Amino acid sequence: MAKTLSLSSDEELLRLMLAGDGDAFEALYDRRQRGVYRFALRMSGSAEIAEDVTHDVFIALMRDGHQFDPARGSVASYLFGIARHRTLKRLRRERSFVSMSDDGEDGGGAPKGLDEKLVAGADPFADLTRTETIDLVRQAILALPEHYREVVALCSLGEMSYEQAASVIGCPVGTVRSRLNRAREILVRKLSAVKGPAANSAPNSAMAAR
Amino acid sequence: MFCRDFEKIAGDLSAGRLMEAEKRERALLHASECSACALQLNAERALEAGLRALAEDAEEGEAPPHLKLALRAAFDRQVKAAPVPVPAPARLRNLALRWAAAAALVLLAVAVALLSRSAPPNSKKEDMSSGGNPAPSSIPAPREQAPHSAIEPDNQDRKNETHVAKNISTKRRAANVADVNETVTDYIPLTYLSDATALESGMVLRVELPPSALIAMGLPAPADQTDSRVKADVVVSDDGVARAVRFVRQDSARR
Repeated sequence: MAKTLSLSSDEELLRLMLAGDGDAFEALYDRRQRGVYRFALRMSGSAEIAEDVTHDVFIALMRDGHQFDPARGSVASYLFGIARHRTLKRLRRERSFVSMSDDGEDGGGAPKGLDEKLVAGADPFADLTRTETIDLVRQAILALPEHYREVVALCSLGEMSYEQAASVIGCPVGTVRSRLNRAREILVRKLSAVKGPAANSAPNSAMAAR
Repeated sequence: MFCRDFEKIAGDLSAGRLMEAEKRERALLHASECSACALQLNAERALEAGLRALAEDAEEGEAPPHLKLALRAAFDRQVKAAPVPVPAPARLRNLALRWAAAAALVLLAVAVALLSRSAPPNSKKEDMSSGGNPAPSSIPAPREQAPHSAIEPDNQDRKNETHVAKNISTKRRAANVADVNETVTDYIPLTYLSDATALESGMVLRVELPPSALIAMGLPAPADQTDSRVKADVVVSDDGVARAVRFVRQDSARR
């Protein structure tokens, strides 16, 4: 049975789940909890919020899953839509979990314009270890404004297509694309700006991932 | 290819997203000839490597095991407590929708007849139904949000999304803007919105829309009213996204 469920589509699992099949619920949970949890974690920077959001998403699925309409998107988009809603709501209530920058939409300080950005160097991670790189990127993403952070979490980290992300956020595909471009531009600038101090802390190490 | 064109696709190029082979070749050719764009491409590739390292980071983990146990227990309790509602087959749902639409049309006809009787003899009604405009209905909106806060004027993207709300002659009003002299349609959802993703706060904006805005929302625009504007109530959520719209017809005697 478990093998059969693992081959079932999300929609089929949802249908079985709504008919009272607990194994189908578990199968759907096993398949989607990781993405939902990581999305919430990347958006909030808090494991506690990520856990709460994951809990709320699947409780909402139990309660309101019959309202899912496949004509409006996939089950995954539906779940991420709930996760997004819950995460943003939680973030607005608990701003202190995220180190949001107060000096402009991109965290200020960094030089503006392509030329200046490139002066800082093409590879901000050249002298960092993999762990340092991950921490640096994670912090830079958490410092992004929410509407940029979510497209990075969905598309760049969650490997969603622009269309799927647009379905989750509820905006045009072009908006996702332009937000992601802008977010990447900000990230390059931020990471370039912090290259100096970070590189000094690990002068001889190389990025393990490369 | 110009540098400004390259900048737009540098992210997709470094992320390995699908694009036309010819476009990709032109971009790479441009990067090989333009040192500034070559640097940008390198920076984008480095960022992509960092993002991938984060995406693959095992420490990011997943939801703790006890959460699954708790959710399964909650599921079992719910199944025991009450039979799980089984969704009606699509055919039946469609049938129900058709009956609802028919009932709404009957109600609409009655409402129009009553309104036309009660209107002053000299008043002239605007015919919104001509030219393919959404049919007005007297059925009240099922879910309406109280006014909450102004739209955050934070960036161009949000301005684009809320262009419906910000377009021309924006007026804020109380949530229940429809009064006895207005006829409103049901709210038409603009995004995926169910109870699970329902708005918990937001605001309703009364706007006057040009026909082009209706077309942009995928709604029919009146062909014979290209210069006129259509009144509408737009539900805007806290994140600045227009979630739903309904159309309003005002009694001409009030204008």
